[in-house]
Amino acid sequence: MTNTALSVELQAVSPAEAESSLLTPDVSMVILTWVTFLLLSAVLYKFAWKPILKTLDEREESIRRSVEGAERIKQELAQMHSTRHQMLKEVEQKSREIMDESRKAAAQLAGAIQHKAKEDAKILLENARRDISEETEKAKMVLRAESARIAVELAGKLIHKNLDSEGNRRFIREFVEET
Amino acid sequence: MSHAFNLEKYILHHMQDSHQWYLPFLPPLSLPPFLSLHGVMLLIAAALLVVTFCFLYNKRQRVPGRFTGSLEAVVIFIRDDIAIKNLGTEDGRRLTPFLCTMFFFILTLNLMGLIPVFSTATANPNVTAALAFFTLCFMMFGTLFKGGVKGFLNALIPSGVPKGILFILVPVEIFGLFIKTGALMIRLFANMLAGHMVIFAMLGLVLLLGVAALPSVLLAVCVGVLEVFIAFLQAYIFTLLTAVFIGQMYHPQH
Repeated sequence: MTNTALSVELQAVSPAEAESSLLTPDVSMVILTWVTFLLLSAVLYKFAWKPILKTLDEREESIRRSVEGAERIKQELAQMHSTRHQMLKEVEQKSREIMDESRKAAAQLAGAIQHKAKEDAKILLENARRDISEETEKAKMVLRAESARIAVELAGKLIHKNLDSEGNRRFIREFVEET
Repeated sequence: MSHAFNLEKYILHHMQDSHQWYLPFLPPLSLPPFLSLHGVMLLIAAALLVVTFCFLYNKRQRVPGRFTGSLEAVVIFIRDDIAIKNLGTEDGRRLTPFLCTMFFFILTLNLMGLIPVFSTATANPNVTAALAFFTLCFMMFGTLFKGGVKGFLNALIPSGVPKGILFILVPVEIFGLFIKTGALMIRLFANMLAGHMVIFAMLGLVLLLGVAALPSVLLAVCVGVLEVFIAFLQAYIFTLLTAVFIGQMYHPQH
């Protein structure tokens, strides 16, 4: 803007306007401001502030709910973790008990088996002993019968030969040595 | 050359309300008698706000974008730190739309004054007086509507004051209502006027002294940057004090 242009511009302003103070009251301006502001308030209230503030409230509510939900989930997770820990401990305890019981049962079973085996062995031994004694008796019987048969045979021979006492004794000794 | 140039008239010419709108590369636009230049600024500011908040502000976004987010931050600031803080949750929420309109209207008018094509309507005391009148209305009629005559008197008369003093105190308090709103009006108008006067005085120096005064343009730019800050600050102060004054009347703490 040049000085010439400015002076032209200034001349274009009416003298009354140029003289008027910056503080001159202007009712029409006040009314125009009121009307503009009231209309603007009404329009913005209906189409801007009401939906904007509603959206903000809804979002805040949703964020609060989400945070509360997250907190609740966190607590539930912590609770689940502790429950799981507790359950694991219980399971461990139970498995230990089961193992102890089964170990005890196995020991008892082993004892029983051992006892039974011992009993069986004892019975077998007794049977064997009985068999041996029976066989011994049987052998004795056989020996006795054989001795009798030999005695009978010897007696028969003695009778048939009719020998003297010296001769009998020699014969018997020879027979005994022979047998 | 310089004797023909009157700096005072130059500044007044740019600050005063008129019925001519100087547009670049165009002849001055004559305005009708019922609509002055500042009146046009009011209408343009109102139109800008309607376009901004009714059309550009995306209310359906679940996650607001940069533009919507920045405006939303200001709305939340006005609701939480100005309205609710000074008026309580219930009244604060109820008056948030009014305070938002007040803040953005004043801010738009202030910022428009920094754009060369436009004029500063908030440097017009009639405009600021009209705006401060709304504050006065809320202080008086809002309190009457909310608490009745008893509530209004309770806001004016401190408890435990001897009756003899009331003859002095009540008129002072009533006078105080007008003083407060008057101060509100003058603060905004004077700040906007002074800032622009400084800018035009510095630019006028170039017209008065020629090329030798060119560095003053740099100063004018610096003051212009400061004016942007002042535009926000004054809009904030006006809105904040409105909330504080209304809050003092709604919830008197004597």
